[in-house]
Amino acid sequence: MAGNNRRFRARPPARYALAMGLWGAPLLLLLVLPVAALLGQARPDAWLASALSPQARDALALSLRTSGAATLLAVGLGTPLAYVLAKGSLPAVWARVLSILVDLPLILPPVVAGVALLLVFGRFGWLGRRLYEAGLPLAFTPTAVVLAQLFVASPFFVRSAALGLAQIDPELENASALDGASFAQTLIYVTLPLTRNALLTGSIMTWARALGEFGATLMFAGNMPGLTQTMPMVIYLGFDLDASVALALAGVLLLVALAVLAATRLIQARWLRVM
Amino acid sequence: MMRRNVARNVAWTLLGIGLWTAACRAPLGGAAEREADPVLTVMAASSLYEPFTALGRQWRADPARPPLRFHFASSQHLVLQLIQGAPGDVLASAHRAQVERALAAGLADAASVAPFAANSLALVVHPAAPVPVEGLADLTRPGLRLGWARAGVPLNDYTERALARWSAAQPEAGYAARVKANVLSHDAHARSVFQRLAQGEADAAILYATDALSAPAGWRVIPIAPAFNVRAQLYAMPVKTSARPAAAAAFVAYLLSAEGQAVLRRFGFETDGRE
Repeated sequence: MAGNNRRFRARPPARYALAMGLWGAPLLLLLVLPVAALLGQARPDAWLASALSPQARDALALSLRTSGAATLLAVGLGTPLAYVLAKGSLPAVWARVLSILVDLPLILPPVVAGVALLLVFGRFGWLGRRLYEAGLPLAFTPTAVVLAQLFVASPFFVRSAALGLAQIDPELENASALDGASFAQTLIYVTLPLTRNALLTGSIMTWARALGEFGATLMFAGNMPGLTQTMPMVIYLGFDLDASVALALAGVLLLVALAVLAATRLIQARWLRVM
Repeated sequence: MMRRNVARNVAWTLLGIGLWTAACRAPLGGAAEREADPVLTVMAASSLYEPFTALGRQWRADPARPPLRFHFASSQHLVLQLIQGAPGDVLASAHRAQVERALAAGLADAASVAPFAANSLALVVHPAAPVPVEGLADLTRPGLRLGWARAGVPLNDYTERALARWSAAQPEAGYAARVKANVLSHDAHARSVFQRLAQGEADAAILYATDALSAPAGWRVIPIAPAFNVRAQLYAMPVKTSARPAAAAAFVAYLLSAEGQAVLRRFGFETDGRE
């Protein structure tokens, strides 16, 4: 539908486009130059050697495991939440409060999130005290890494899923119900398949954000090689020890970020065409 | 018509360039002002946080002295930041290796490096520690969570050296490895290790004796015998790239003055027998 509208949309005169382009060029340069510098540093063979060093390998493996777990949890727990947000027909005030709570981690500085998580799950935290007594310390474990990532990254999934769910034509679900499908059958065979692209885009964004999580993780999970030391931590804390490893991992994360954005754009483009 | 368009395009472009020049002048003006900025920036090791804060108060009591600001981080990070162009006037480092690194980078003259105080190590134990800790021998006890400085940071090197001395005096092997199995997190600098203990997340840590002095009531401070302890010499030097060399030299002289040395002693630093 967007493609059809575009044909009739008035295009700005060339001089406005030129002026706007000039106006925006400094910002674009600011965004492009550091990325180019990071890629310019790259010597593929040296990168590979650094990225395969034991420290980098441990961090890479841990990052992949924790961000994967955080994404699965965000999908598993976030989908129902998104459903309530999009279709829960909550009173307007509650819907707004819920949406603010869900979005809060997007705005909250991650370091603040880390401190807050410690206040809940730390050794003397609200729940942490009980957990320690039960012999289940949570802070400074890989589980803490996952929780920090889930806290910071889940809004990307919930927002995207809620948006996708809200865009489904209710008539389709009504038709399914009319044909005798139960609520669960409609959900599984109609609603969720129609939301598939939004769910996929949201999961990819959540995974990428979890992979890059640093501030909350450092506060809440600490920096323990092999246990809680993720890729961003090697990049930050390792930059002055072994800059080559830090640069290699920074390059890896940059490529991942580019790939993720390209993938989500592709999915969205296909989604628009299908609808 | 055509000519008017050209004229307009030129006018738009000139307006854009003019506004951007105006906008860019602001930061450029800021850079010029920075040279005239009278504030003296002292880059200091995190273990100097308390004595320097007190010294700063006394320094400011004399209005003839230039205003002062401190920047605290690990000695290792300070040198890295100075190499990257951070505007520091004085460097106060907690480790000889970091001084050598600063000299190699041309940040200071060897002749201007002034040893101004010395520190040592102490074992500090949080009241909530789950196992009794009476000395270095107990650091291997299972279930103990140890605060630790990350590799490259002065405290880490001093701690490793003390443990190596202790380990060499033990009949059984593997002491150091068993101690490290208890490490909770590899943190950024001496102060952040102290904070892990203050939060109660770590049970015990080897800290600078001066930081141990500021331990809250209830903490146990266990001295480490001189045979296993280390002497942590602190060095101050004016930074060669400073725009305020006279003020920088004055601050280093103040550190070495009777007044400055008295403050350092008050916070537990050794000031006699300077190298």
